[in-house]
Amino acid sequence: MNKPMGKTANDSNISFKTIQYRVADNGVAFIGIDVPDRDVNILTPQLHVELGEVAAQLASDDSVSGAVLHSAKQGFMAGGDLKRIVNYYALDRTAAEAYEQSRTFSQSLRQLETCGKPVAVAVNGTAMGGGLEMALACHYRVAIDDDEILLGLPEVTLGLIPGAGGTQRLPRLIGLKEATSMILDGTAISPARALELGIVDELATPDELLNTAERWVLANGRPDQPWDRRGFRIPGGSKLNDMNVGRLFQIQTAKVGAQYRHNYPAPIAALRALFNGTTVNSIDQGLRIETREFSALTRDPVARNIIRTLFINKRERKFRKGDADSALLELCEQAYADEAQRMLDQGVPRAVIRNAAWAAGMKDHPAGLEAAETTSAKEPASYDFAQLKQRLLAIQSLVAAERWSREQLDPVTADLSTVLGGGFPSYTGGVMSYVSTMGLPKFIAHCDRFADELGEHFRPSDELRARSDYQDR
Amino acid sequence: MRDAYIFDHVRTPRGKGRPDGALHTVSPVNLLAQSLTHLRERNDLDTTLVEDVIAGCGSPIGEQGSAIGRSAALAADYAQSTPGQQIHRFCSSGLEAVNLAAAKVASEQCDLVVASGVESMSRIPIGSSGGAWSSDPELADKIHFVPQGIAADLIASLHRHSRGDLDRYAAASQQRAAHAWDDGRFDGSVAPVVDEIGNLLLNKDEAIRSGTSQESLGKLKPVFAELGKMGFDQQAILKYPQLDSIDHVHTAGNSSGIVDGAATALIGNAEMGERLGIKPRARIRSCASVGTDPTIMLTGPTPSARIALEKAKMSRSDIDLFELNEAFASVVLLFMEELNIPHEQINVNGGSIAMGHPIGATGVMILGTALDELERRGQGTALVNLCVGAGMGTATIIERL
Repeated sequence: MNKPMGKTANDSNISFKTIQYRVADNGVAFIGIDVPDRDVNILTPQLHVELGEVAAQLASDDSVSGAVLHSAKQGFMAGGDLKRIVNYYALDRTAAEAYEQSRTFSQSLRQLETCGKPVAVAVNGTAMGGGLEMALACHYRVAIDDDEILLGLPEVTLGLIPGAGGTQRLPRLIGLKEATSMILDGTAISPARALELGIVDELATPDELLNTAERWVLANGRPDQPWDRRGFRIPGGSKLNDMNVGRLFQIQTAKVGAQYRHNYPAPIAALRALFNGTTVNSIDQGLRIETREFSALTRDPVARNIIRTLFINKRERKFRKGDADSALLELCEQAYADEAQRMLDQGVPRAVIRNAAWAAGMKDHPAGLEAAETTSAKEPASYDFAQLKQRLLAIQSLVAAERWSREQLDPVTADLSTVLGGGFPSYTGGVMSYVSTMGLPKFIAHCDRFADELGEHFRPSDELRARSDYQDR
Repeated sequence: MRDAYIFDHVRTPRGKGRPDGALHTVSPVNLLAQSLTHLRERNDLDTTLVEDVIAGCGSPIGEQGSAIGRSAALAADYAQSTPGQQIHRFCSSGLEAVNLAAAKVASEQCDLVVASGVESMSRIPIGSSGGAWSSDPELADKIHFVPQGIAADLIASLHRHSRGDLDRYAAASQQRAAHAWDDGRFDGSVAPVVDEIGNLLLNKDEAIRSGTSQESLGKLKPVFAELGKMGFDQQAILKYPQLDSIDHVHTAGNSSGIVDGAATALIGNAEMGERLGIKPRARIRSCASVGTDPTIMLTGPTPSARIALEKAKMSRSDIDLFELNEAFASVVLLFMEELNIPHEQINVNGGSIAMGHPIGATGVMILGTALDELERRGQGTALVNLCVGAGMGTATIIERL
């Protein structure tokens, strides 16, 4: 993106490492996000802090009348740094530590939003996750009218939720109904669609983008957000004395339950943040609620597992379905089908086994159990449903771990193969992540208990026991 | 503990719970006040002796909100000294009002109490008062919340109630209700509702369809199939994995109707009866409420009945008549199976499938129906019972005097 022409910096310029900051003669500050050593902007801890410092500068500098937030690179903002985020889980922080460390970006954006000067944002390219959240914290949003540009909050698909106001500002801007589906589905939209929804205020050509944003600032744009004005109400309502709101959350909760089967903490955390955060009247309290939910997810292994396997490892290995270790997949499928057969032999009804596989998150029913008849409830349940689910996953991880213990298996390939090539659920991160999340010694003990109860096929080998110092990658 | 007695009860007819229903123009406070007025007039009651007006209400918000028992007592010109309150336990709110009144009398904290219930479903739709159990994502997810109709379908699926079973039961409810009206069985306890200028609005339950047959009911579409597809069926199956799918067999015809209505009952001790010169008609033998699985939600009647029997030191065979609210046909069929109750012994004058279920009032209404029928038959005991939202059940056992 070109810098505005014909404007010179004045004396009040201060310098930042991730931001090019300059104030034009007309008093408009230009905040150019420019994260060093990156082709595209990405959120870094330094940027989190510096956005707050910029906000303080805007507030205190009387010569500044307003600001235009923009990207000094191609594209606007790719979002969070997955390589940093994937490590959160291993940090083993307390809840309080994780909360404190999750607050900075959200607080900086809130500072920008309440700095008392009008801030327009010029969205010159794709703005995902924290990038869109940054734009939402500005008072006026201009984007280039280009359908190639994506605007979205994909955090839920990564096992997280938006953590810098996305779950709070989006519903306050466009209502809970649209905001909830955008956040739960994680789908991105075009600037034109964002304009329709009210997420973006104006579209511009690339050449006119910065001028359009600047014009709004110079025309005395309002330096506050609707939700900070007296008497503000969330469009479409937000409280349970509105039946439509109740129904929305009832249906969305059921949808999440059916889709994720209680294995993924993020979608329901997103719903809680949307629900609890919009029930309170204060956005500051809503932002705290969101940060609590976000920070809890960073301490949960599911986000780590999803990001590590589906994003980082997949990208690094340039993994495609065809690259899957077919010998391993066959081994796992056989173990899965055999375990289901054992359940059948033990008298577990077919429907229960199918539902256990489905509830565990397996993509397909075990071979041989394609059809099921409904069984009567009149016979008392003689099975432990939670245990059935565990058995179907653990047996597959066990056969994989046995191969690994004989050094015939690369754990990363095993994870990628079973999640992307097979039907193993993504929340586990794959067959080997399933083991490492539990910790190998615990996994061995878990299998030993199954072996005692169900048979020697669950008994870990001596080779595997010998590897029990293995913790994680 | 002293005995608590039922001296009298009276109810409004039930109007269709729609804008063109006969009672739609009557506010809920007026509806309850008319019933309170009838109760006073029938018994020539000195209301300075009434120590509480307890009103059950399923959606206690807006014009039904803020202690409608007190509002209605004031509207009905009860003594200023008579306090009023509201009580909420979903569908059993009315019966819970009776049980609380009985407890106040039995514990000697009160001598005379009016137990009542009201619901104007045409004005305050069911669900209006929100609620964390169904709509707070955290709790709804934890308890695998499904709407009541899905829960009723879940019962039918688990217990193999076919559409035909449900429709047969529902058709019988219509025929029984129509016959009970024709036979004058409700005449003694239903008082008409009038408008502002004294014109009659309704004197008979409006929703009954006497021509209903199993065949005609068979043509109705299942109501909850679409809702089930939105994820509720799967939420239920995650809790009941023995099911391959949920059979959506409940329709508008074999579920309770949406109606407006109010009911009142006068409850006190023996000395108060003597002082007022009114004869007790029944003794309240026991009361019970219980919690059950909130997902399937509607299986509380059997355990609450068992607890009530135990508290009364009675057994199933000591009960002459059963009255279980017909929230959904499968709820009644399950109760009949579990307690081995023949159809001849339960809901003998029809129920909510035919006459409608004005949520907060139904408990008081069916208590009265059971008492009237005991008197008509010359029988001794009745067990009155409702299934309740969020997985509960409430039961009361009465003994005719």
